[in-house]
Parts: sequence; structure tokens; C-alpha cells
Amino acid sequence: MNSFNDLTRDLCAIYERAGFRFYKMRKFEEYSLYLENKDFLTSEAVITFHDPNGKLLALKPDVTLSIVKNSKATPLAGEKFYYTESVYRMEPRTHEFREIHQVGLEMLGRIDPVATLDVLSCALHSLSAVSDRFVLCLSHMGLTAAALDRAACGNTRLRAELLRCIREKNQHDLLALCENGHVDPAAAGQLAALSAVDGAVPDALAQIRSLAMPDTEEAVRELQTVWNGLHACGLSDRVRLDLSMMNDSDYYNGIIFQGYIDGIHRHVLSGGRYDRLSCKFRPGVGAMGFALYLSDLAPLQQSRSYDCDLLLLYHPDTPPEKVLACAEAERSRGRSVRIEPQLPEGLRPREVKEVSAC
Amino acid sequence: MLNIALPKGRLGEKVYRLLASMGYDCPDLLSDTRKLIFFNRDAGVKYFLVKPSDVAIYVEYGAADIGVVGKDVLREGNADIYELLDLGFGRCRMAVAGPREFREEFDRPLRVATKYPRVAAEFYSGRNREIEIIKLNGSIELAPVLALSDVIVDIVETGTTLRENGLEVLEEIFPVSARLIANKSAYRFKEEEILRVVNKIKGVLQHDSDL
Repeated sequence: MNSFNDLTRDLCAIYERAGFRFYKMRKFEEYSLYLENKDFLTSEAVITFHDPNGKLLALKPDVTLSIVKNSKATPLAGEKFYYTESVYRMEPRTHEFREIHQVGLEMLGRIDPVATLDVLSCALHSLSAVSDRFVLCLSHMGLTAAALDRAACGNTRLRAELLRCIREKNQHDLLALCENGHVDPAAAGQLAALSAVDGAVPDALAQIRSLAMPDTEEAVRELQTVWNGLHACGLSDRVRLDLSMMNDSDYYNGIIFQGYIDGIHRHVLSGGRYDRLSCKFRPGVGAMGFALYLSDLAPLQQSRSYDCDLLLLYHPDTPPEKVLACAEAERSRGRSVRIEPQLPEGLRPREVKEVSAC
Repeated sequence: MLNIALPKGRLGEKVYRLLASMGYDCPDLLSDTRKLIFFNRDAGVKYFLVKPSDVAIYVEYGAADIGVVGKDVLREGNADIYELLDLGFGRCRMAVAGPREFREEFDRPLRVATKYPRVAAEFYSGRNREIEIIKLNGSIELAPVLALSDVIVDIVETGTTLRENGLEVLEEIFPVSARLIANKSAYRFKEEEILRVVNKIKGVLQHDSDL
């Protein structure tokens, strides 16, 4: 993988070419924004502080909310933004805050099949810019979420436990929960069958159709259209359908997706359709976007064996212009050159040279 | 190459014997050695022997592609993994236990001694019951006997230890057994190898239950 700077530049170029505008924002927002939309956040823990006027502010735990809040998009006049920003979130395991650098885009306005394909192609090109060993998993909130609601029948505790089983591909506990919770066997069977769908998109769609569930037809049609588009553009090779993937249904609707890179232990890209959130701020405006977590890509970076290509040592009596000229000559050949009067302790240069040898 | 994390001890040995019978053998693993990593390149498998409570962490962070861990450890650790199979080994139950004829006082928080604070907190939060968790690392049954706690949340196999200390199961929380888990990213890139193991184990378990 290229350096983070090179990768960020490549990603920005992808989004610029797709007609997205760069969006720069402050590192903080009013805390009330996150309080009112806390269900949209992955964690309620936010770093807060007071400004000199006593206003409660928070370091951004999320970028999407800020963009949606400030957008002027209408259904007829959409907006397309991309960003490179840091967000501050608590790690669930360590309970410590972490700065996460992410790059992503948001599309607000009318989200038709073309817009969906546009966002998905940007996501695929983004993953491809990181590594050629990637997979993009698609799902649709209109499929498993409806079956989940039917099975849970308003029992929020049961719904949460079933949701955990779905996300873990845990069919054994899902069926046991349904049995103990006296879930209608037909509803339990449908939920188990739907949540187990995972594979190449054409096969997975055929599997869903074979379940003959009328309320899945619209979502299946939408996924089929997306698949046809990606396939026609030669972008479908690394796309799979996995219905165990589910986001919060209060905000997300329609297609959702996650990207994986071989060698990184968790998904590095996450996105989807979130009309329910955008409509809270701008009625009638649809929205879709994704974020790529650059901070999680660190394991792909090759550890550097050397601190610099060349350590250039100079004698105190050497004319400074001669030292700099020698360094510039080496730098013009693309080498990293560090100038020192003597070898600093702990430094690992690939090569050491004295100015007198230039 | 499939990387498998096994818990040290009886459960790990049992799972290894099962996997070895399916062609994923690595004979050194059962020898008297202090090695923690075992290869069999021909079988395409690498085993790590780790502390039972660490298996899910090795899998979640991708050091191992799959692993075997008890459901009790899994629920307490709340790891972000796929749980692909209930192996049915080491069956017991996570339960609330207390003194025989225990009478709960509802005008104060319930004092709960446990090795599983997350499990206990989740269970009582679901009932909107305020509790005070006393985290212990062993001999949990002693806590109510010495009035350190009102009840305990712990795994119960036969109930003999409880009975011998004047305690009994008051409520079952969830059944516990060994589970086969997988890393979510590894599942994407080694799906065929992982599902081959899953299906072979399913076949063996089905055969055993048919006997």
C-alpha cells in the first residue's frame, strides 16, 4: 500500500472525478446535535468541553451528521460532498477515546438507481486503491429487518438478542431464541433462512426469491438493478450479498454495504442509504454515503527498515553551501537525505556518506 | 493455511482430536512440549494454544481465523466475531444462584458476586434491577456464604459445588457450550476453507447424535 498521504490523494482524486466537492469542517460541533441523534452514533460517549460563552461543544464523533445538518440539498437539487476528517470515538473494549482518520463521501438529494451505482462504484474504487485483495458486501435493510420485526413482534429485548445472533451468523442460538420466545415457526424459519443468505449476488438473490416472501420483492428488484449495473461496468467481481449485515433501522434504509481488505481484521469501509436521518433535517431528501477508515489500514503499511536513505555527515569546517549542495544533489535523485555533524544515536540510515566524498 | 486458536486444557484437546480425525492433524500438539504454535503444511493448518479467555480476542483481531471458545467467555468478552457452530461440548448453564430459600429484598440494590460482570449487568439491566457487582476471580460460591453478596452469577454444571455450600440455582440465564467462532474478515477471504471445516464438524456431530 502507498503511504497514507498518497492514498488520501488517490481517494480524493476518485471523488473529484465523480463530481463530489470537498467539504472541510471544524473539529467540533454543538453537543446537542449528538444528543438529539445519539441513536445514529456507534457510541454515546463523546468528548465534550465548554467554550468561553458556556456553550457545550463536542469533538466530532461522526462526520455524516455535520454534513447532513448543514446541507441545503433538496430532492431536485442534490449535493455531493467528500471529506477527509478525524472523528473521536470510544473503543468499546478499552473504553478509551481514539482519533480515527476517515475519508468518505455523502450524496444528498434524489437517490435513484444511478445515484446508488455512483456511490457504490466510488466505494469499490476506494477499496481498490487500498489493495487488490478486497471484498464489498451488500445487504438491504428492507429484507432482514422486516423479517426480524415480524419475529420479534414488538418484544424489544427479544429483537436485540435476535439481532445479535443475525450479526454473528449464529443460526443455532437464533432458532433456540425463537423457540423459547414462542415465535411463530413460519416467521422464525423465514428469519433464519434470510439471515443465512451469503454468497455471490446472483446465487444469493435466487436463494431469496426461492423463499417466496412477497415483502422482499422490492428490495430484491433494487439489488438486482444494482448488480446488473455493476456487472455491466465490470465492477461486480468482488461484490457479495450478505444479509447477516445489519445497521440501525431507525436511520438506515435500503442498501447498506461494508468493505473488507485481506489482512485487516475488521471491515474498513462502511456505508449505505440513510434517508431516515436526512429526512429529519431536510424532508424529502434522500441520502447515501460511506466512510473508509484510514486509521485501520496501518497493518498494511510496510515497516521501514531505515530512517533515511542517506545520512550525510559534515565536518564543522566544511562550507555550509557545499553541505547543502551535496544534499540537494542526492535529494534530486529521489533519496531521503538527513544532514548531521555526527551519527545520531539510534538512527538507522541505509547509507552513510561524508560530504567530503561528494 | 487456516489459523486455529484452541483453548489450552481439556476442551482444546477434545476439539483438536475432533479436527485431527477430520484430516487437520498436527501430532506434536498432544506431545509433552511447551510449544504454543503447531503447523501441518500438508493439511493446511496452524494451531495456537492460548488461554481460554483469550481465544475470542485472537480471533476478533485476526491472529487466528477460527477458534473454539465457551459461550460464557464469548458473552462476557462481547467480541465482534461470527459464531458459526455450537459444538455441544462442555454443556453447562450460566445461572443466578443463592442460598436455599433466598428471599430478595427490593428496597436496596442486589449484591451480585461474579466472574462475569458484563453478563450479570446485562441480565439485571434487562429487568431494570439495580445491582452492585462484586468482581471475583474464583471460589464464587463462597461470597453468599460469607454474606459478601446476596447471589452469584456463574456457570453451573452439575450443581454439586452449589449444594455442598448450601446454595441452589435461582434462575437460568443462558445455556453454555463450546462454540466455533470465525474472524469476520478472514471469513471473506478464506470462506471455502472455513466452511469446509464447519461442514465436516457438522457431519461428525450429526453422525454422533444419530448413534
